[in-house]
Amino acid sequence: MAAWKLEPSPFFDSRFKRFQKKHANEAKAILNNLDTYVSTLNEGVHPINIKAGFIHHEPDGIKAIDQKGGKGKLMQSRLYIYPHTETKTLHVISIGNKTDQKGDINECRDYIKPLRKGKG
Amino acid sequence: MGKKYNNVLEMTKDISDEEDFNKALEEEIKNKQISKALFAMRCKAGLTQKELAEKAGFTQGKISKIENAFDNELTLNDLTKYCSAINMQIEIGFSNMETRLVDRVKHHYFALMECLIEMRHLAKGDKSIEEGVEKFHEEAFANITTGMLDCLLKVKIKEEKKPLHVSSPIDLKALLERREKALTPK
Repeated sequence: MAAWKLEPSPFFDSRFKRFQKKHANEAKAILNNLDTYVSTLNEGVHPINIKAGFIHHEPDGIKAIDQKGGKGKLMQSRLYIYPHTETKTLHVISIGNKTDQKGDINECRDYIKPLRKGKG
Repeated sequence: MGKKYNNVLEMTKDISDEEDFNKALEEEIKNKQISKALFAMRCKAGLTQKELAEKAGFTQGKISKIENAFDNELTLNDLTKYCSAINMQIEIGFSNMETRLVDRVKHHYFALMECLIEMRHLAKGDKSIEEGVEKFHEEAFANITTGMLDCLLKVKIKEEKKPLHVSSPIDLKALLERREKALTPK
C-alpha cells in the first residue's frame, strides 16, 4: 500500500515561517496533530472516518487541524489541508489564526478548485 | 506540481530554520507513538471517541487524554481497556537491544511454528476443524515459501557469483512445483 505524500502549497512556506515566529507552541501542537492525521491515513483509514477534536471539516473536503493537545494556554489556530484520495496526496495549504479563518478558507477553496476539477 | 514529502518531520525540517523547534517536534512525535497508533486503530474501527468511551467504560475526556498522551504516561490498564473496546489485544514483547536481525528472523520462525502447533492441538478431535487447519497449513506454506523465494531470488541476483550457504541444497524447481500444487484447488 503506497504511503501518503505531503505537498505544501507555494505560499505555505512563508505563512508557516511567519506563524512559527509568533506562535511556536501552537505550530508545534498543530504539526504533531498533523503527524497523527498522516499516520492514520497511512493505516488505510479514509479521511471521512478520521474523527477527533482537533479536526474540523470545512467545505469542499478541506480539513482544518487545530492546536488541541498542546501544552499550556494556546491561541486558537488552524492548519488547512486537503486530502486528495485519488493521488494519496495531502495538500498542506495554509496556516493561521482563528480570526482569519473565513479568508483562509476562501483562499483554500480557490487553491483546491483545479484539484477537484482534475478529479472528474 | 510542488515538492512532496514522506512525512511531517521531513517537511518541517525543510521549511523551518529553527533547529530547537524541529528537535522538540521530533521528540514529541517520537514519544507519542503508542497514542498515535491507538488513534489510528479507533478510526479504523469506525468509532468516535464517545462510542469508544461507552464500550471501554471511560469518559470521552479520558479517551481524548489517552489519544494525546506521551507513551510514558499511559497505563497498562488504560491500554487494555482501550484495545478490548476495539477488539484488539495487547502483545508485549521483550528483546535485547543488541539482538541482531538474523536472531529476529529466527525468533519469528519459532514463534510461527509454535502458532501452527497450537492450532493443530486445538483442532484435534474435530474433523471439520482439522480439515480447515490442514487447508490453512497449505495456504501458509504457499504464502511463506513465495515470500521466502522472492527474498532468496533477490539475494541470488545481487550476489550471483557468491555461493549460497545453506544447510541443505534448495531445489527451487521442486519448491515451485509444490507451491503450484498447494495453490491448485482440489
